[in-house]
Order: sequence, then structure tokens, then C-alpha cells
Amino acid sequence: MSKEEHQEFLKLVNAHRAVLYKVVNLYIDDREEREDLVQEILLQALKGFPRFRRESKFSTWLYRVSLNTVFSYSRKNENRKKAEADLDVPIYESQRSDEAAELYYHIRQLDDVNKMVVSLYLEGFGNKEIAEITGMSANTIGVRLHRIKETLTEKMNQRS
Amino acid sequence: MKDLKDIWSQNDDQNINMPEFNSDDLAKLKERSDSPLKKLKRNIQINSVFGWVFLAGFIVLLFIVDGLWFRVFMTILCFAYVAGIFFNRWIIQRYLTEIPMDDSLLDHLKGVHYGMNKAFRAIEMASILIYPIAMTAGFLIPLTLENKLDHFNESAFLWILLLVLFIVLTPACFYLNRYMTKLAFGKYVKQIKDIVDEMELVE
Repeated sequence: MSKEEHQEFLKLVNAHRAVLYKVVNLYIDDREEREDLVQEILLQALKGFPRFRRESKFSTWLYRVSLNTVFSYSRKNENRKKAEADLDVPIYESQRSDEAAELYYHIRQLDDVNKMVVSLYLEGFGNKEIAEITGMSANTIGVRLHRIKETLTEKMNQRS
Repeated sequence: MKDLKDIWSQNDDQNINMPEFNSDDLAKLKERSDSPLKKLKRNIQINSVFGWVFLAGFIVLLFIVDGLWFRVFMTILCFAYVAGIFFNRWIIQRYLTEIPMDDSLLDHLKGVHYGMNKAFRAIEMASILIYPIAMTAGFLIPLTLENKLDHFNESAFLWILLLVLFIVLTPACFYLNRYMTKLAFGKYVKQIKDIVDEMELVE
């Protein structure tokens, strides 16, 4: 990779670095493992950057690389029944409202595939883009999203 | 009740305290071995290194130990090891080369699953051929060293013993190999398969 490409990569990845942290925080509980995975995603993105075609947005491509890395790496801590307090310890400090924190908590309780679909939707991706990132059909995404939104809204309503 | 997107947008990503990456961070990135695909590749590479070491040992034995049959089987064993080493190389190139990360997630996971399963099956098939040759050579070493090869040729008992060893040890080693592979990678392969199935589920 040329020096210019290197600089371009750095600029783009810094502008969209929230993607890396968001994906890792959603899937990994262990703080040290999160840091390792951020490094791993960065490495995979750096290696894949020469193949990045400017047809799609960098954020879409980075989401894809991040999800592919997180899903295909053996997670050391698979125990989902961790204490609730442990579930919401982000690698970075974010300003979250109570409502947003609760939604985040409920999303983390979903299974891996639904978690991915809904987080992409909430980040503003359309069904077609989500289908492109995941490889699932746009129809399937639509049906799943409908169901997940119902579940999440119900859980949020229970609280209020 | 607010829209979920409105609630989600309350996450203030602009004020989050995330460190920026710099050139030094990129320079420090190293190839890691967290991926089971890479672990399998590394295991096969280590296996090949041991293959070379054993091969060197066999060649030394070939010159030190006298005896026609021993040399014949050791030569066959040497060729089998060379074939095994090249076969390992082929498995890595054919199934365990890097799978592009910028495919869709489903294609990516299918690629990983396919590559690992193919590699496992190829290793199992190769081992079926190599175990009997290794057993025969191992069987002949003490007989040759003690100059008892003529005794072996005339002894029906020893021939039957060798045959029994083939019948018992080849499948035993085959299943042991399968069990060890399952122990090391089975959970991961199942995890990948479950996600693929879940993603392919027609709603």
C-alpha cells in the first residue's frame, strides 16, 4: 500500500472508528477481548483496503469487515448469562440517555443475527444495504426487522 | 412510545472518548492467531516442520541400520512423509488461504466453514494412507536392529500380529485424529454452521 493510500485509510478509519467500537461492544463482553478485536478488525480492514471499491460507502464496507471479523473469530467468552452489570460496559465512554441505555441492553440480549440486523437498521442502513452487508435477502431482513422491532418496543413499553 | 431510531440516536457518538488511530498503531498491528482458520493453518505448518525433522531422522536411520526390508519400508516411509508435507502445503493453498473479509457475512462464513471441513476431510484421508506405512516401519525397526528379520519372514504369528495392528490401530488412529480435531475446532465449526443456518432460515 502506498503512503497516500495509508494516509487515506487512516483518515477514513478515524472518521468512522465508531463503527468498530459499536460492533465490538455489541458482541463481546470481555474488555480485553474487545481491545484485541478492535485491533484485529483494523488489521483486516488495512489488508482489505486496496480491494475497497469506492462504489459503496466506506462505513458500509467497514461494517462488513467488522462483522465478518467478529463473527468468524472464536469468541473466548461465550457465556451469555453474565451479570447485567457486566453487559453494558463499553470500551469507550458514551453519553447515553436512560432510554438509549435500556434499548442498548435489550439489543444485547438478542441472538447474534438479530442483533446485527437491528443495529444496522438503527444506524440508518436500508433493507437493501443490510442485505448487501449480511448476504441475507432483503425480504428476510424486512420480516426479521418487523419482528425484532415488535419485541423491542414491547420490552421498552413494559418499562414505561 | 418514541420510535426506536429516535431513542438510538440519543447515543451521543460525537462526544464519545474513543482514541484516534495513528500511523504507529497501524505499524504495530501484527498477524494474530485468534481465527480458528489461522490456528488450523498454523497447526498444519507445525505438523510439516515435525515432518521434516522426522524425515531427517529416518534418512539418518536409513544409513545407520542395515537390512533390506527395513530400508525398503523406511524409503517408502520417507516418500510418504515427503508426500504428506507437500499434501499439507496443498491443503493450506487450496482450502486455508485467506478468505476475503469484504464478502457479505453469509458468503464469508460459508467460505470459512467449507474451507475448514474440506481441510479436515483431506487430513483424515491422508492419514489413512500414512498410518499403515508408519506402523510397518515402526514394527520392523526393532526386528532389524536385533537381526530378527528372517524370524519375522518365517513367523506366521508376527505377520498376523502386524495385520491385527493394521486392523486395530488404523481406525483407532483415524478416530482419535477425528476426535482431537473435533475437540480443537468442533465448537467453532458448529458455531459458524449455526449462524449460517440462522441466516439462511427462510422467514
